[in-house]
Parts: sequence; C-alpha cells; structure tokens
Amino acid sequence: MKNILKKIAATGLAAVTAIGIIGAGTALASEDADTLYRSVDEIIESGTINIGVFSDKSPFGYVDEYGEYQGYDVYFAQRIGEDLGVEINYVSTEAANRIEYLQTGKVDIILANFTVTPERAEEVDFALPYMNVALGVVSHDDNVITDLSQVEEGQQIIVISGTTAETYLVKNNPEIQLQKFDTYAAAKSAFENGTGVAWANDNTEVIAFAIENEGYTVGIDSLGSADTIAPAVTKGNDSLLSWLNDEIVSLGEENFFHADYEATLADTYGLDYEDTLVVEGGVIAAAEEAE
Amino acid sequence: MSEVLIKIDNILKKYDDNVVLDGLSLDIHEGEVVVVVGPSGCGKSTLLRCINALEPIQGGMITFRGEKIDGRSKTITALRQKIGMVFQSYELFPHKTILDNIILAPMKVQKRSRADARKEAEELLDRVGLLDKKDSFPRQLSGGQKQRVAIVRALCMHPDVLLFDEVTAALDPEMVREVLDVILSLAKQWKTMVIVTHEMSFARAVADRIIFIDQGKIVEEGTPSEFFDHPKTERAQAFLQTFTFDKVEKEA
Amino acid sequence: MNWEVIQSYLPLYEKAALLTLKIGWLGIAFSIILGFVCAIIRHYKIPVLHRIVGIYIELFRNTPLLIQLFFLYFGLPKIGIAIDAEFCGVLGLALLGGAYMAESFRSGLESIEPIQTESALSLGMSRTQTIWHVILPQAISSSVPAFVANIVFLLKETSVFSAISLMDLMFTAKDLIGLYSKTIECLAMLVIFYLIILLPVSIVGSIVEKKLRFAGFGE
Repeated sequence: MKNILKKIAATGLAAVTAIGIIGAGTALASEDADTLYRSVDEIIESGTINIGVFSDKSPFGYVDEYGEYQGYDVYFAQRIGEDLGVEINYVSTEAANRIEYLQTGKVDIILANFTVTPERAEEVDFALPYMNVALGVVSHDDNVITDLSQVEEGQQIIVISGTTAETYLVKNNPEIQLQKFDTYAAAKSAFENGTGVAWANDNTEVIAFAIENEGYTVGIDSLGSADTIAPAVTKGNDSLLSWLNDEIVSLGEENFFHADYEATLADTYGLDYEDTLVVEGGVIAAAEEAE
Repeated sequence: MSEVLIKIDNILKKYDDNVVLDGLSLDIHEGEVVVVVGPSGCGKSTLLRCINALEPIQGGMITFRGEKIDGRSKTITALRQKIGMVFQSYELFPHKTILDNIILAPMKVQKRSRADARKEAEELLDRVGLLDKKDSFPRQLSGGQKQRVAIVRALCMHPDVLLFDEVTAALDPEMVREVLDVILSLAKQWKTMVIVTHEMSFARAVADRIIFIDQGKIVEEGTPSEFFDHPKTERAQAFLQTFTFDKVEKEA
Repeated sequence: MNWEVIQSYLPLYEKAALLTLKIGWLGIAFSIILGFVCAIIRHYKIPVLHRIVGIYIELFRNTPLLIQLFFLYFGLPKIGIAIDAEFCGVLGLALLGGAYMAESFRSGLESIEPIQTESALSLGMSRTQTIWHVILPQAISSSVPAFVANIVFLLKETSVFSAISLMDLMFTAKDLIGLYSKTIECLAMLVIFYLIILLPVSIVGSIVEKKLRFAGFGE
C-alpha cells in the first residue's frame, strides 16, 4: 500500500510541476514578449531569417523533387530574404502549429498560406494580404457534393486540423462528422483512398488538386466568406510588421505578385485565376480595408 | 539373483563429437542398491539421465522390464512413473505448497483422487518428519527439508526404481545427514535404487554394489568392502586416494 | 488558467480518453494473446512457424508504430484493402504489442530453468501437463513486470493515432490549440488525462506483481 501511495504522490507532484511550468512559462512569455520575437535589426544582424512555410501544400508551399522549397508563398519568402540581405531558414509547419510557432519565437514570419481571421488576429499580427481565398469542397466524380446538405449521416468530410475549413465546419455545420488529419499529405492520401466523402480546404488548394488529379470535382468552389491570406508575425513585433507592410506596398509597384503567380501557379491554374487570386500592393479589389 | 529391472546394454552417449558414455553395460536388479562413483565429468549423472530418457542415447539400448526406454515413444510417460528421480537442486515447484507439490503428479498422471493422494502424501511426510510443513511453500524450507520433500514426491508415484543424482552435493553439511537417513531407510525396505554420490562412507553403508566409472566406461565394480578396501585397478586406487589426506607436516 | 474554457473542453477530452482507452485496451488484449502464442511457438521451436514468428517479431520491434500505421491506413487501400481508422489503430497496436509481449513472455519462460521441466517429466507428466501445471504459472507470474511495462508503453504509443485521423487525447489537445489557442489549458488537461489513464495501470500492475510473487525466486 505504501508503494502505491508513493506512486500517486510522485505522479501528482510531477503533474503539478508540469502544469506549473507551463503556466509560469506562458505567463512569463506574455509579460516579457520582447524576448520571443526578433526585430528587423536583430534579424539582419544575425544573417538569417526563419520563415515558416508548408512543405506539402502544393503549389503554395512544398518541397520539390530536388529537396528545394517552392511555391507561391516561397517565391515571396525568397524576395524577403533578398531584400533584407539575409539567408532564409525555411521551417516546415503544420496548419495547427502556425500560431504556436510565432508565439514561441520559432519563426520570425509565417508565410504558410495563412488566412486572416479575427480570432487569429488576436493571437498574431497580420501584415497586408497577398492573396485572396475562400473555402472550397472537392469530392469524387461519382459522388459530387455541391451542397453541404448532401453529406449523409455517417459520411465524413476530411479537413486538416488548424485550418479555416475546420473552424468553419465546426462552427456552422457541427452535425457533419469530420475526419481530421494533421498534415496535407495525410489528408490528400486519405481522400484518395476514399475514407471521406469530400475534402474541405482553401478553394485554391482543392481546385489545384482537382486539376492535377483525375476523377475529382470541386463541387463547392466558394464556401463561407471571401478571405485573404497575409504574412503573420509575432504579436507586438512592430518593426518587422511595418517593414513587411512597406515591402508589400513597394512590391506592388513592380506587380511582384502577378509575377509570382505566373512563376508558381500558372502551370496549375492557367492564367484565368490570376486577377481573382492575386492581391497586389496589399490592396484588395473589393471595397474592404486591408488589415 | 532377482529379476533384472533395468538393463543398460552397450550404450553410447555423446554430445556432438564428445563421447560421454562409451559402450557401457549394467544390469540393475530388483531390490538392490547400486551406487555409482567416479571423478567429475565421468558421465555418472548423464547415465542416470539416460535411464529415464531425459537424455537421448546414440547407440545401444536401455530397457525396463524388457520394454525399451525411448524419449520419443508414447509409453515414456508410463515408464517414467516407474522410474523416480531426485535431483541435486531438488526442483520443487515453487508456486505450489509442499502438499500440492507431492500430489500434483499422482492426481494428474495417475488419476488418483485428491483425498487418496493427500492421505499418502501426509503419511510419507510424517515419516520424514515434515508433516507440519505441508502447507508451506518451498522457499520457506531449508535445503535439507526440500530434498526430503523431493524424495517423498518421487515416492508418492510408487516407482519401482529410484534414481538419486548427487542429492546432497548442494546441501550444508548439517543437512546432509537428514537426507541420507531417509535414503538409508528406503534401502532397508528393499527399494531398488541407483545412487550417484560423493559421500563415500554413505556409499559404503548403503550399497549392495559399487560401480566405478571413469571417462564413460565402467572401470571397476564390486561390493563395498571389495571396492573400498581392496580396489583392483590403478584408477580406482587413485580415485579413492583423493578422499584420504595425510596429516600435514610443516616444512622444516 | 481559464476554468470556463476547461469546462467547455472537458467533453471533448472525455471522448478522446474513451477512444484512447477503447482502442488501446482492445489492441493490448489482442497483443497479449498474439504474444503468448508467439512466445510458445518460439520457445518450443515449433517447426516452420517459429521462423515466421521470428521474422514478425524482428520486423515489428524495429519499426515505429507510426510507420506501421501508415502502411495499414494509407498503404493497404492502394492495393485494394480498405480498413477504417479504428480497426487500423487496434491492428497496429496488436501487431506492435504482440512482438513486445512475445519477447517478454519468452524471457519469462526461459527464466524457468529447464530442470523444472525435467523434474515434472521425471514424475511421468506429459509435456502438455508440464507446460500447463508447472511452466506456465511460473512463466506468467515472472513476466508480469514486463507485461505491465509493455501495457503502459502501448497506451502511450496511442498518441501517434493522430496520424490516421483518430481523435485521441494528443490530437484533441493539438486541434483545440490550433483552433482556439488556449495552450496552457489544453496542455494541462492533456497531462491530467494521460495520468488518469496510465496511473491505474501502474498501480494495478504493482498489486498483481506482489500477489504473484510467491512464485518463489531463490531459496
């Protein structure tokens, strides 16, 4: 009996310590946020910038067969590196940990196709947008879902944990069963295997998928609100934020993002989407103010 | 001479290329006590283990009342009931009480009732003075007590022959006597036994015949007084020498 | 610490804990049976089977569960065999666990000296009787510590289930953090729930170990 009590006491102590450390750590972090992000000067001085991108979300952030990072986001990241005069250290992120990585200073900028939402804006600081996006749903040709009500009881929609598609469905369609994966690669694979009746993600992504793979149709090409994608920095990192915003505005003058599209996305989408997808100079075509 | 219970006929036993028993022949008669002695490694333990087919033989034959002893045959379990064996490390079943240790085989193998087996077990335990330990576990007993239980366990199967493999070699000296006394009383009851031992005075007292084995062959055999007082072969003489000591004379 | 948040997440964590327990224990149960059978086959060197089992054990002890799950969940459908995530999880755990249990059990078997077998045989017991009455009881009780360790290990391994979309505790915590950013609360609850699952196993294991210790070790 003594032994058992000892065990309980020991684990209890460990648990309290663990929680204490986590709590203290986060408390400290929010008080002393300086230490968790680097200013522009610090970045330039160190000679390297850490940028979080996707390694498996083609054609926005992915690793090609030569082991090199490519994609619409990465093209922009390259330019940032050049203009700052630093090396780029690409950090592969998952959708669900993008905020974490900024909050813990693991990366300086998130350029992982990050959609701007009010909830996220509470946790990180967004720069000007560089892309338009909405949600889309792709399904197999033999059972095209054109409306969410078509999803029957017991069928599942595949989403990736930490994406706006997930948030949207959890909030607006809680009755639909979700099959969650933590990486794009896994989600795509499962979708191909037919474990879910549809895959909900950014419409740009699902459209690209349907174009590149036979047998799939994007039944819903615009779900939820029209959103934008913007770079994000750790909350409070004003120097980097304003540098980024200035950068985006000046890049607009050379139509940088159009060139980006043509270099990285044209092969997938053709040129039709260019004007709807690209946001140049941080200015959205609609009347809404940019963040 | 009484009936031959076990006939060991020209057996060959080897491990890979190492010959341990080399053309050995021996008859064990009913009611006799045969003591096997010899230097370490001479093959005496192996001989016992061949008799109840714990080891296979590569040549020759061993029979019990004319029936061949073969580890792979279907009759081996029946034969083994008739040939009891007690090991140097007693090997009681540690997870069972003393009583259960003794009645397990009679019940499962001979299909005797629990009551019947219990009765006999308790009688035998009483005779060796261990009745009060019947519900204890082996780990609670001393070496000598465990060995006496092992003997009782073998006896409870009503074997025709008992094999003893250096049963006191692992015991503290005080306990050796209590075990040997049990064996002596069995001898008095005309039990047929084959005993491998190093205890020379005991051998002398209990044996009807001494067999001396060296390097896998029988080198000499005879009655105890013949063997101990007038060993015929040089090797037997040399062997017996190892048990006698001249008084130490300190150097000048 | 935001207690309201914790309260609102509680049902999700409970659901995840139940899933972890269900798949975990099903997998463990099968792994014990599988391990038992394999250990006997290996120890008694049953022809042909014992080589196959040997390969299985080496393969599954030397590859991580994650890889095995990937094969089962993502790989098999490519050759036409579709299995659902929960079945995959149970199967993966059973196969991985079986390999570990087999080895634990086999060393338990081998720790019972061969003389125990011999002493039973000399009494005229058959091989089967010897295994059933003498060897197994001792082998099982001497394997218990290793068994308990394996069980705890397997329960912890369930944290990789997120890879195949199973909402276990780990994934639930991660997902909630990704959605709502309440990191401390989510992690704290994660730790507590794992403790709730693992501690009883450890405790029961200790009790069982003590009870079975009569299978005397040493004189």
